[in-house]
Amino acid sequence: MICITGTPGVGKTTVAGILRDRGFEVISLGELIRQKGFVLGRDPLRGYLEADIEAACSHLQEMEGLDVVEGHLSHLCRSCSMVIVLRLHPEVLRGRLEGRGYPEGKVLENLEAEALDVCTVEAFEIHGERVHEVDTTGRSPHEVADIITDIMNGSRVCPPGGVDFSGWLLG
Amino acid sequence: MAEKEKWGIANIYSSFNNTIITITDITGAETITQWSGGKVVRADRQESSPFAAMEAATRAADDAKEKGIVGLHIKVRAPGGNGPRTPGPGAQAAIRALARAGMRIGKIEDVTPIPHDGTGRPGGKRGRRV
Ligand SMILES: Nc1ncnc2c1ncn2[C@@H]1O[C@H](COP(=O)(O)OP(=O)(O)O)[C@@H](O)[C@H]1O
Ligand SMILES: [Mg+2]
Repeated sequence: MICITGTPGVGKTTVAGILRDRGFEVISLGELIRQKGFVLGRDPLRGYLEADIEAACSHLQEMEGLDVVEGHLSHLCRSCSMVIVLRLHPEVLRGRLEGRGYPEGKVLENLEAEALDVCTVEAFEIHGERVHEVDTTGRSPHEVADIITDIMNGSRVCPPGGVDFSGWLLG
Repeated sequence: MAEKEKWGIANIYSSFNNTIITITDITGAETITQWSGGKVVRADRQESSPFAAMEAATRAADDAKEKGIVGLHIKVRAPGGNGPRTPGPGAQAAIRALARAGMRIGKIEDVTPIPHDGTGRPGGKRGRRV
């Protein structure tokens, strides 16, 4: 099971849809969490549903024939055989998150998380060399899906640390 | 007199590849100085080293001292924990360097951003040691 992660808005669900069309068995971790109620409570500050990661990940492990899990929490599952972190320049991401109608604070926290490589760092701490990082900035969903397919079949390697948006943090 | 002592806020940003220190006045409104690991070391791959973080922090502290600041409250944004393969080990090194440069260190807060849409990881206030 490969895990596609990244800050909300980077294009995980879109690219996972293309992989599904190409014959892969795909699941959305966010949807699974909601449908099965793998929820511990609500974050008091931000209001989001706090995922019961352990329960959700054990559920995934018991599913048969699953190829791809997509979601910004998927890298927290230890059973990922490979983690692909999708990245997007914060300025482009801003437009997508504002387009979703997120309040300003929520947009900014996600942009800061993207600029600080939060998903990459967390994934790397858990999965080490099994992590790949793909900068989707300026790439179409199909191009991104092609790169992911190459990584999956071993013909392409994208080690973490190759993407650096820290310049965005400099005022 | 204690009321004459000027304090500031040091925002420390530690990513996979870089460490950035921004010192503002106590209200957060005015930036006094900003240094990044990328600015103080030459080789790209050294930007995130503790050495680069220390260098950046030392220069930021020197600038702040020049503006009469004697102490700093610290806000850390650093996704890495303390694991053996934690990238960006810059935050701890930066705080130590600020203290070594003669700054008094006040409150240290972890304000690491959390990616979230309708769902997110538990523990929004992570309460990790910093
Ligand atoms: N490579 C891309 N280029 C341009 N727009 C994209 C791309 N990938 C996704 N999008 C658009 O960005 C928005 C967010 O994509 P989505 O797949 O829902 O992100 P995620 O699942 O990571 O939160 C959608 O409106 C989608 O159409
Ligand atoms: Mg999605």
